[in-house]
Amino acid sequence: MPPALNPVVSASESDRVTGILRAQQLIDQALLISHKEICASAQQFENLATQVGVVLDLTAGIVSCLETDCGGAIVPMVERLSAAAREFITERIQSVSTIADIFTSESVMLERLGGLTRDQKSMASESRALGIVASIEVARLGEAGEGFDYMAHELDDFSRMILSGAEEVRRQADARKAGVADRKLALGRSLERMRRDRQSIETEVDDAIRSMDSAVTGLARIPSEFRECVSAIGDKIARVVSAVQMQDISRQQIEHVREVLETLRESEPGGEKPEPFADARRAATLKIQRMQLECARTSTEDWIAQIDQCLEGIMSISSSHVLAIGAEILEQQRSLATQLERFESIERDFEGDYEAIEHCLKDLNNLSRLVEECLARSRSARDRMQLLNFNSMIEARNLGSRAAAVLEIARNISRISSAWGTLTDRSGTAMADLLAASSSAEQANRAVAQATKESLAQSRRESRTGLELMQSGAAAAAEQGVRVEAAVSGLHREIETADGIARRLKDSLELMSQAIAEIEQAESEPQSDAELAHGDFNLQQFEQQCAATYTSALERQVLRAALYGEAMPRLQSAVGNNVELF
Amino acid sequence: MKRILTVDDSASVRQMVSFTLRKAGYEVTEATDGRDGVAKAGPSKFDMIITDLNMPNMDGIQMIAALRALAGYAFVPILMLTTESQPEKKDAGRKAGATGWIVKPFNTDQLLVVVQKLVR
Repeated sequence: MPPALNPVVSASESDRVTGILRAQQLIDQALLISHKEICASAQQFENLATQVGVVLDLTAGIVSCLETDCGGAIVPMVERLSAAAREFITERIQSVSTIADIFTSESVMLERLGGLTRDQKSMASESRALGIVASIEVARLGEAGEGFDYMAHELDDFSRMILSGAEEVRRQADARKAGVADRKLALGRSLERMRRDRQSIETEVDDAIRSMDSAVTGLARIPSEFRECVSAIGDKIARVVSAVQMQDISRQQIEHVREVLETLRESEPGGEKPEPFADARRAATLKIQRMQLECARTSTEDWIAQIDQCLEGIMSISSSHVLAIGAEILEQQRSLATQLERFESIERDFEGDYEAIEHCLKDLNNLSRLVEECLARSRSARDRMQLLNFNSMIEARNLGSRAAAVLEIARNISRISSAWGTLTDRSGTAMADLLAASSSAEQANRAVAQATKESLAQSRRESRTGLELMQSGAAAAAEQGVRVEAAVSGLHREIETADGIARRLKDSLELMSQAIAEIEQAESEPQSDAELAHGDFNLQQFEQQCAATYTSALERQVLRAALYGEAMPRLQSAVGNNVELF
Repeated sequence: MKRILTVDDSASVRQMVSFTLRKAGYEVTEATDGRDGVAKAGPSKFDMIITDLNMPNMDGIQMIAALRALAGYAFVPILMLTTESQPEKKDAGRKAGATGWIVKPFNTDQLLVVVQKLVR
């Protein structure tokens, strides 16, 4: 049974009524702000989430470029290219060194050939002198020496033939010597350049590969970081969805407090409709409302914090290095393009060297042909001289003692023929040596195995393809990056708006604190918790009456906390834990 | 695209439900109370309805009863999304024809799991 109404309005009762009224007015203001800003924040949050979605979609596009076009596959490609180039250069250095050595020995052989031509010339002079002597002897013998006339002509002809051949060989050999000297110099320069190239591949290209590897490894981490970022933002968005709902629950909670205070104030002795009301009932009611407000304030603080955290999380997108992917890929692509151009330039240089060596070897072939011709003529001359010698001996024997001089000439012809034979053999050997050298040089020039060349070309093609992919990936990422920046800039504007809403909502917290203070003041007057617990006041009945107006489990939990001292509900644990399918 | 009707007198909650479902690929229509819900559900067929309990004009349980009486809504899943968690309220909802009950505030992932399970 509620106690009887005391019609006399005391000063403290009047203060209490005023306090309740003030609390009510503060709650009205807080509700006004809360109602307005929660609608705005829900709308703003949707804008934000949509904008975040745009940013994440665009960023996902960049990450996709990274994963499909510019992944780690490019590093092995460049490594293969570098290895192939190194092998190619090493083989080429080896072959060019061999060619340089062959050219050195060729110079010695050409010297040898020069010596032989000198011997040939001296032999020609001797043959010519012998021819003159033979002509004199033919004249002296008169009619009997007619058979020797042919011998004199042959010797003269032989001498002229040797002279012209030896002179031509000498001229060609000299030219060849000069050509070989030039080529040796050029090869020396090529070798130096190749060694530098190999050195630079071992250092600079390897450095570039290491840098690319490190960049690609860094870039490779981005997709997972991005997915973590998306997941974290998704979590934050989910939390804000809960926070907005919580705020709506708090709003209802505050509205219920306001309704109860209105009723309470009107029931107070100093109110508009004074009714008999138990002190205990009033004190309990005030305490319940205070605790409901405290719960609502905590809840509001919590969801404002959730929004703040969400905004911070979204802000972190803008500083994400995902935006730098395009530039990073482009830089790596440029570095790779430079290396590739370098390899191509090395290959071009090698092609030039190859052709120059081939050309030089062709010159040697010309010389070989000339010497071959000379050798053929020499062999024919040797045969003719042997025949001449034979005929002269028979003729001299027929003439008897008168042909002593002719016999001597025949002996000389025999000696020259023999020497000429030896010289021809030596020339043949020298020529064979030269041809062998030419063949070795040719083989050495072509020694860079076809497999090595093909491997280099294949690696270069692969890298070129990878490069083109990187280029298109970088271009797409850069283009996407511009869009992301624009979207992030839009996002920042949305965040500023949301931040304004959060700031205004914080004002409602202050109003709620003031309302709580007013209620505390009003409830401090007549009753203590002990009196509530031990008086005739029926708590369970009172709880049932109060609970009838509540529409949430949260309010009922606060009610029990106020009446029975149970723990206040924990807000976060209440989220999403109650699903039941019938 | 599956169509879902969400009924709640709180604009912010409607917005959050719509946002969550639209993001998951559903087409969402909003209604402000039970009466509005019945009015919108009548002319067109929805694949699912998500409703609050306490609303002005017509509450969620009354709305479910009204919808179950409509042709084409006998087997459409209707999910209660409310701050109420009292067993007697749940029982009333189940008797009226509710398919399930979720207590606010909802967890977006959990809401989607339930919706995906009910809307096939």
